[in-house]
Amino acid sequence: MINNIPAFLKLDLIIWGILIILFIGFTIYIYYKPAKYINKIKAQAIENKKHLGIKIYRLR
Amino acid sequence: MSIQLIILIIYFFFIIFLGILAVRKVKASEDLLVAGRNLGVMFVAVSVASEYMGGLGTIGTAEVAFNQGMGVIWYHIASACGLMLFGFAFAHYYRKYNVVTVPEYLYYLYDIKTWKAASVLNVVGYWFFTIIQMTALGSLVASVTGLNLQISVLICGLAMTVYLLAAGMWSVAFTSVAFMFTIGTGIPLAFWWVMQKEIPLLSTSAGVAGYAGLANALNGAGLDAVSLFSPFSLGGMAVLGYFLGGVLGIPAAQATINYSFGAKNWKVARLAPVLAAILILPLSIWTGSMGLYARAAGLTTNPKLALGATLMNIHPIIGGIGIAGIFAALISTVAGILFGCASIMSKDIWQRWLHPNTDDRYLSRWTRIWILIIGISSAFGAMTLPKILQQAFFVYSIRGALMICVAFGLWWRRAHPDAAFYSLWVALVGGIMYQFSLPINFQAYFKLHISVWCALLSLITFVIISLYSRWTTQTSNELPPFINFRRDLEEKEGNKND
Repeated sequence: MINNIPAFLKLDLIIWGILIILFIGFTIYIYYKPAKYINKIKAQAIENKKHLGIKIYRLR
Repeated sequence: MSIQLIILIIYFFFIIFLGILAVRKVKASEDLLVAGRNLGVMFVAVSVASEYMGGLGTIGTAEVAFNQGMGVIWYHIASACGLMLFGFAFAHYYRKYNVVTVPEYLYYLYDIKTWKAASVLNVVGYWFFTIIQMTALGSLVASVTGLNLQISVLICGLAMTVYLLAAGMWSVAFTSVAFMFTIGTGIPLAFWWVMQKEIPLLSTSAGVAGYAGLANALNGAGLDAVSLFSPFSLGGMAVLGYFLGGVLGIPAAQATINYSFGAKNWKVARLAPVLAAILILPLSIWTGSMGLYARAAGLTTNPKLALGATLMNIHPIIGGIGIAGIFAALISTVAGILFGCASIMSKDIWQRWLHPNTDDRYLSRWTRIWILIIGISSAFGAMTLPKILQQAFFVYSIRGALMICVAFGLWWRRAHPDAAFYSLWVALVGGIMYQFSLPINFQAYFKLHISVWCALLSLITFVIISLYSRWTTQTSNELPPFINFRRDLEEKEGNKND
């Protein structure tokens, strides 16, 4: 029966499977990260400002 | 009155009711703009997915399949990759600073002039885009109801504005669940019906159901089923174009990603776009197959009508549910774009830039007023400006440049505010020159999609200016044009002392 499935459908199903596996893996990866992990995320352009002593104001 | 029309009318009123139902969730401006940053994974994922599944992803993919075959599946594969890229690499950066809009993040990364430029360009671009998408929505409704295009556009535009006015992002989140359910049941149900019930009825299908019958019917119509069923039927350049569009178009597109800003925490903000990628992937299989059926059955000669013609020619209840699915895909996109445009207009331009010393109630009021202004003006624009369809280039030209500014600001130490500012304007000017062939016909020489052309221009500009500029203490050392939290704190301290 599998031979009757057209190539585009097989390809799409394979990619769908890969996405689902990635989602499950990513969920597990995220779940085990500590809540304060986000504090370590640093953008280079903001780091440049901090390095030069430019204040990063929080917008209202 | 046809059964398809009755189903569409019932669905239409149900959606408006659902959008208005969300009003009890709204207490402050943050509830309107980012749903109080309280959305869970499912709300964010279905909002992102249903916003992304617009006219291009439904009617557009059926049109491409009608002409060129099932290679169109790469459209949604590329879009899924763009969404995953956003979830893996960008969402937590935005979430860390609790941003409401993409231009606001450019303020953190760069400076005030970049923030102002990005705000203005985004608002103008999305305003055009709202009008364009409303025209597409009106065309669908007009083709089903038999009303004229202008009346259809006006009814849809006003209805959408009403439910967005009620609760902003909460309304979008509530209605998105219904939209996703409708898209996820209506379109596959119609697809299943076509494959199992309609294809065997074609004389050329030899009474066989499924793709084998569709292949027989295509061969019977004098077409080459093998090449139309090939996943590479569009050619490498088209697939590359889809990937560049997905990767450049999503990580800095306000209308698509602003639901991530409303996520209850950074984990939700990262996971939801990846889930949205899973939700959107099968869509082109369903719509593309129905597009090919329309061609095999000879339902129309106009590729743009392939999907609509299929749904109007099958069992009326199944077709009506399928049309409701297409309607859901279109209206969720228009609502997302309208809301994204109104968010930037009210938060960045109106409050922070023009009326900085105002309070939360002022922002809530003006967010609603701007939803009303943009919604009504777009509906009237769609009724009266048919040439607006040619202005889609405006959004395509700036979205790649925005993505480049955000990506370099995150990962490149040399990224400079002047580079970000000028790369936005170069992309816009380059886009106008490309679109209108000023002074020469660039398209004839370069043969690139306008978004790729503009992204290349802004990339070159960004890199060159960054390499020749230095960060100094003067760089981006302007004070923001509004109260900062420290002043708030000082005022609170002062009040306590009093």
